[in-house]
Amino acid sequence: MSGKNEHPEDFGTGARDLQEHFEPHELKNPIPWPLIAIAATLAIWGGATLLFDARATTTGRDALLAQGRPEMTPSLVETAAQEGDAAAARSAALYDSYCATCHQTNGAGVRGAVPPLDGSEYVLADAALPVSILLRGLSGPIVVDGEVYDARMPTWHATLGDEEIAGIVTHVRGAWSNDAGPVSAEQVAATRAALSAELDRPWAGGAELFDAFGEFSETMADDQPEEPRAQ
Amino acid sequence: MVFTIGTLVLVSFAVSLMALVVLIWAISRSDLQLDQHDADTIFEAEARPAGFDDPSERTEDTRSPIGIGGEDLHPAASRQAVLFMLGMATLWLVIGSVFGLMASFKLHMPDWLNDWAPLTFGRVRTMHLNLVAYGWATAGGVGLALWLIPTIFGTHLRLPRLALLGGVLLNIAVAGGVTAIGSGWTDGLEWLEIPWQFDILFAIGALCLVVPLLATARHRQVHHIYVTGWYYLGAMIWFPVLFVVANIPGLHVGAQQAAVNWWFAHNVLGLWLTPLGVGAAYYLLPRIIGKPIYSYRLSLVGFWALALFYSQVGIHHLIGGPIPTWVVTLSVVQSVMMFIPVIAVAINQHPLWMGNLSAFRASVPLRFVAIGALLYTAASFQGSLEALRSMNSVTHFTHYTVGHAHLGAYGFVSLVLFGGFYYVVPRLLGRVWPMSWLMHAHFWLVTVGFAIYFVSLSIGGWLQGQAMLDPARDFLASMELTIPYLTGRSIGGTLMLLGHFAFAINLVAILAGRGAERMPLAAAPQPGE
Amino acid sequence: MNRALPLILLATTILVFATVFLVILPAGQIRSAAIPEGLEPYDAAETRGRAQYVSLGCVYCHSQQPRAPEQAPDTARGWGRPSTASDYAFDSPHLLGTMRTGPDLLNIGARMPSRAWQLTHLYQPRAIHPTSIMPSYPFLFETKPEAAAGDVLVQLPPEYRPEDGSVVVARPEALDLVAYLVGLDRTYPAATPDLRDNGYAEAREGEAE
Repeated sequence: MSGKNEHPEDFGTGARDLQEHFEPHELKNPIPWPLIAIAATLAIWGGATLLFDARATTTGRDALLAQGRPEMTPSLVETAAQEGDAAAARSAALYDSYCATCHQTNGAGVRGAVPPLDGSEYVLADAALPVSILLRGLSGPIVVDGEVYDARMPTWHATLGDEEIAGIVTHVRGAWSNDAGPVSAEQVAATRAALSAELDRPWAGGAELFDAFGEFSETMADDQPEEPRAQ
Repeated sequence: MVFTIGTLVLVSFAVSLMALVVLIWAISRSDLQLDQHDADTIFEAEARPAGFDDPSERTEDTRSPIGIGGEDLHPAASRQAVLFMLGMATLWLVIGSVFGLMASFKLHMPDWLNDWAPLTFGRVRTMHLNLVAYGWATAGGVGLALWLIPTIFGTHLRLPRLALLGGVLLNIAVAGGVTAIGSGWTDGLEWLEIPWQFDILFAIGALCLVVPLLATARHRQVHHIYVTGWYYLGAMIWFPVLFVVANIPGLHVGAQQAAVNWWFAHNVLGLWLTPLGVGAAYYLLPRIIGKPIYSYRLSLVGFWALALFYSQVGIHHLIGGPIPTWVVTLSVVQSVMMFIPVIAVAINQHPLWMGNLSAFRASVPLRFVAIGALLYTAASFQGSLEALRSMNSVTHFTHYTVGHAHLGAYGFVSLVLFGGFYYVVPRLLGRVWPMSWLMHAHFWLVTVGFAIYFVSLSIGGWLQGQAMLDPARDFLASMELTIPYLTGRSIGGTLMLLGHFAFAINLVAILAGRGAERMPLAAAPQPGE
Repeated sequence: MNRALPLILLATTILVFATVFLVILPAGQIRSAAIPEGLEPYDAAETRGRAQYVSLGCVYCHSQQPRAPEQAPDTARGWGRPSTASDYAFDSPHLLGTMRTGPDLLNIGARMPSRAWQLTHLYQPRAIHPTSIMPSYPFLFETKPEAAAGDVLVQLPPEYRPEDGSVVVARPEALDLVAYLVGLDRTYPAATPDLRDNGYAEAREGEAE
């Protein structure tokens, strides 16, 4: 090799070793036996995997069929219906169609945009408070669970009847981790009557609610923004 | 139904295995009349002594190949076509990696450059992919093939004008397609985003390049088609078929389209970029070192097993997805079978450069090619493991796969192409690289940069995948934990981009006529460092 | 290995063989399945919105293919039941995706049905999730001094509102995109459970290594 003469430093021992290594091998055994052994092992593994997966196909299909309706967040409507309580089922359905769009089916709301209902002190306070929020709606800053929300909740008094509002509030107060008492249609009617003149004006935020309902929660009083910000 | 399909899968697997067994048997019996001497074909095709050969820095090695009959293998027309492809490829590499780096930064600076739709992440990332896959790797790989095929076949390139036309069309298609993607006009399938209208142009361009290469193969002056030739000829046939079938508009829909999508996208790696890279490495390693590969017969196993197994691996991208189990499983098994050809290639290539480490140290082109070949082995092993269901559950959908994709497309293909460019351009122009320090800088920037890139994404991606599988952790946690690793990737990527600039500047300089010219051998300066 | 023609023919045969198994046979199986009850074709707004989704490259960070509970906790995250091939009967280009830099979106309409939320999130994801790395899409919105009749206002927390007191309204592109997103709902019962990868359904020992 001419390179050897020109560059003794480039083709030293390494090159000679290599020559010695492969010259004798190549004529006898062009394919090293370990490679053939690996190939055979892989082939057996491959066949076994194919067989296993053929079995899994059937199992998986059956599982999916048995599952029937998919478990998204388990539907509250269905859960209530299974418990045999028709009224509760109706309330859950009302919640799903009017409220879940924003507050989500799990009542967690949407971080930064929609306050949670699960664990909310407004929901768990005296029933007149959540009822009057539903009736009048809300437009202004409100602090829930330490977070400020710029609320814009629709006014429902014209859309929903006393019984429907009672159902929704009862549902929300008892759903998820909430554990507050039910609300009757009569209570809603009374609140509606008391608010009569102001039904079309949404609450201006947490501060106004606090003024109207007094200290329903000790922690919240200090949290509320002083003045409702102008929209 | 299950029985029928299960049977079909077994048939497919069994056929692949039987083909392999027949192949090994035939080789053992020497029916293929192939022996170690054939590995010397590359040294015999051109009138040039075997020996250490590094034209990147040594003027005496920059002679253009001369055939056995004294024919200049690269007359002006052929040289023009090769240089055009290599130049365009480098341009696309630089633009493509600028977009890639932008996309990387956007993942940890999400409000950066968001006011204009073409610069949104989804488009920048896609322009990056198409530029580097079809602009850089394809144009660069074909450019090398335009030089290598005449050189190993000992004859000049046939129909060089047609090849140049093909190159022009191909590059127009890339430019048009990527502009379309930037403006929001896309076919919407990963790896197939370029609108089909430009695909037609691309396919015609590819065809204009394939025909001259096949014509050159027909007129070969050597007794034997060297292994590089098999890979190239295979790739020249496979790619047009793949590209046309996958791009026919309106033929595929829904989940079935996804199957076609990944059949194509993985084959474009396995049956196009891989053969271009492995083929080039099979030439460049022995050529630069000046010694033949370890076992020539083994290379046959490597090639045919690649064809048999790689062509069926694509659906491992849809593990756990809405594709029938049998197709997915078939791809999983074939992916693992890929160990066979990869080991065969590894046995052939690595002992060669590892046994000549002084050559490895002396030659930058060789270093690029050898590390590229090593990373081919690594990427393929990793790919086979990622196809296992248990590992795929963790790594799929994460940045780990992005690291893997770059290990193959960058660590392997691009590094081999870099080495190829550094070897071929001086022999085309008869000049060494004008700024060899830039070449060294390029080497260190991209290897260190890529190491940072790959390690960051692999660790970050693995942790991300584990977080995603943990029902107790919020999904957001799986994203948030990746931020430091994504930042690390940007640092690595910046180094890589700097390396590409060094490469491009050197190329512009050598094309502009700078760099020491070849001198008569007697007057050549004594090499040595 | 001395003749090019046999090499080329054999190489072609191998590719054709692979194409039969990976493309033609699955295509036959998938396309013979009926369209499930409960899956509607996309309406005009959703189709336009889907085109926005494609053109903006949402698919590069969001998959649309919930996995089976045996493989990943997708269902528990509210992403829906494992999808099957027939859930995508109207999808072209398909948007299955390969990355989950963000969550799976096949059932985003069932999970986040609020149009207002989607608009806010598209205008500025960090207004909702401060650590989000999703791009903001200001070019899908318009900032004006005052909303005109019929404009859809984007609700924003104070720190993300324009400083000059003007309002942000959605352009038609944003409304289309949101129409597509809130329409994404494959919560009807699974049809064709055979047409998905059920390879995780059975715990298998051979897979460990």
